[in-house]
Amino acid sequence: MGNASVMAIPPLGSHELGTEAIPSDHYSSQAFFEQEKEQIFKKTWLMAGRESDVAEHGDFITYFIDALETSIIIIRDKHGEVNAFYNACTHRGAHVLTEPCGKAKFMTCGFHGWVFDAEGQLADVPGEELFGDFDISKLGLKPVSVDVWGGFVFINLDPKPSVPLKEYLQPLNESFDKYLGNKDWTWSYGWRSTFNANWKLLVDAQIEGYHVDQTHRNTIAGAIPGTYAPADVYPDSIGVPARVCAYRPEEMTGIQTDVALLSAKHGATSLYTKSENEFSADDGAGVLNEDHPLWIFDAYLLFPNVVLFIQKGQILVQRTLPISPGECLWEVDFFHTGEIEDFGQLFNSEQGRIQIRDVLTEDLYTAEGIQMNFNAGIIKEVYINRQEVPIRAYYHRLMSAMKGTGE
Amino acid sequence: MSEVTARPDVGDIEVEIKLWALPTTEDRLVKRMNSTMDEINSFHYAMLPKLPAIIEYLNQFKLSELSEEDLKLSRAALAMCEVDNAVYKWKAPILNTGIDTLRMVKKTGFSDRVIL
Repeated sequence: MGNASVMAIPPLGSHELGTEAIPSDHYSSQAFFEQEKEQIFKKTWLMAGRESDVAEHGDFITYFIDALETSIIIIRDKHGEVNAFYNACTHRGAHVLTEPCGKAKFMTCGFHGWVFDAEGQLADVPGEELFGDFDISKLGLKPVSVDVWGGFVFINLDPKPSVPLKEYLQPLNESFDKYLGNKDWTWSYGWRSTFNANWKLLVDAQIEGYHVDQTHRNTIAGAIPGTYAPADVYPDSIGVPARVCAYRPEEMTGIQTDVALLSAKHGATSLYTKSENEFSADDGAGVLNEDHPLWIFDAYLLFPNVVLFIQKGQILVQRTLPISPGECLWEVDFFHTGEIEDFGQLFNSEQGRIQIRDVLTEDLYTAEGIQMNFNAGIIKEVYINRQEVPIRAYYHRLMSAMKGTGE
Repeated sequence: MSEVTARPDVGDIEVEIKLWALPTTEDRLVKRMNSTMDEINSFHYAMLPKLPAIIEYLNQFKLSELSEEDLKLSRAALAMCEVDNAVYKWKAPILNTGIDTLRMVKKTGFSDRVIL
């Protein structure tokens, strides 16, 4: 009896947010998209980088939001603070930095050589005497709101965000901040692409378990049955509308190949095979559902554009950014603890990443066809079941954000 | 001192190893996509019986210190991960219910946002 209750899978979802069909024009409307740029991408917290990528004074990354034609510099200053600025020289507007990452304790604009320090202050102007009435102290780089949580750097183009980042991300509490912010996490690999699909469709594809049995019938069918992927919603949260969880079946029914089983002897990279080993994971209390013997991962939707998969010893981050209503950037990144030291671990990493890669190709397959049907006006509304409740939570959050209050 | 594992005899499958011992995951992906199922099956079933011993053998060395011949063997072993789904799940070189895998460009870091 006790064992049965431990093994029970939580309810698949609920109708607590309603049952009505959801309109589809927010995926295709140019007017809606223009409002999204103003009310969402200029007013919400956006995951822009990893703090470890700006570990030392002068380390920088740039973050480009295509739809806004806006480039942001994120840089560590000499006091150890992470700062963010618009990548715009205050002389005549050129991009100051043109690389995605690098090191520059002083940032020199390639146009005329104006120099800014890592606090954004204008430090040197070649031929300063050539200018007339001129106050160098007022010509620093324009600042952007920035904060760090869970080791990730978030920016907000609102000069005074309506909600601090930590409050925005509730119910993800201090335990998540600590677990994800563990300095042992290192970026392992990732992929990026562009799709002829609205940026939200790629998010939708990752936040419900109803699709698993059919979409993934040629890869992981049986490893995570659809009925083992329940959803929760957080109606009171500003930045975390929902999550979807994944559990293994008591008995695997899919194909577990010899290669997968060999791989499982040496590591736990693959989500789809029960490993004989486990990643280490410090500080996972309150984050990892390790009390449940079948639990694999929880995937949290961070509004507006991130799906954060959290498991023991592995983090998967999917991000999208809009280019136009029907075109987006997509990227996915994996973080692990510990280095690959022997061939068994390398074999496990290779097998796991290929399995996930092939699964992702299936997740990404439907979006462009859906977009066509929305663009053509053939499908004007979509139907959401209770297991797909994160889609409804995402839509509700989207529409509340469009009111423009930043909340 | 732990016992040294002898190198498995792979003399009879050298031809397959040579064909599939490509340096990167992306190289091996393209090789799989451009191969016939006969070629994929031929490689897979030649390697499979020896794969446990190959992994055990390679596992005793530092990755950075593999000899040229062992590096080749390691790449062929990794290619087994690439062909696994084709052999057992798709029965075809390419998954026809997914996007073209080559559209997924390998990133160099979390902040790699080079315009595509």
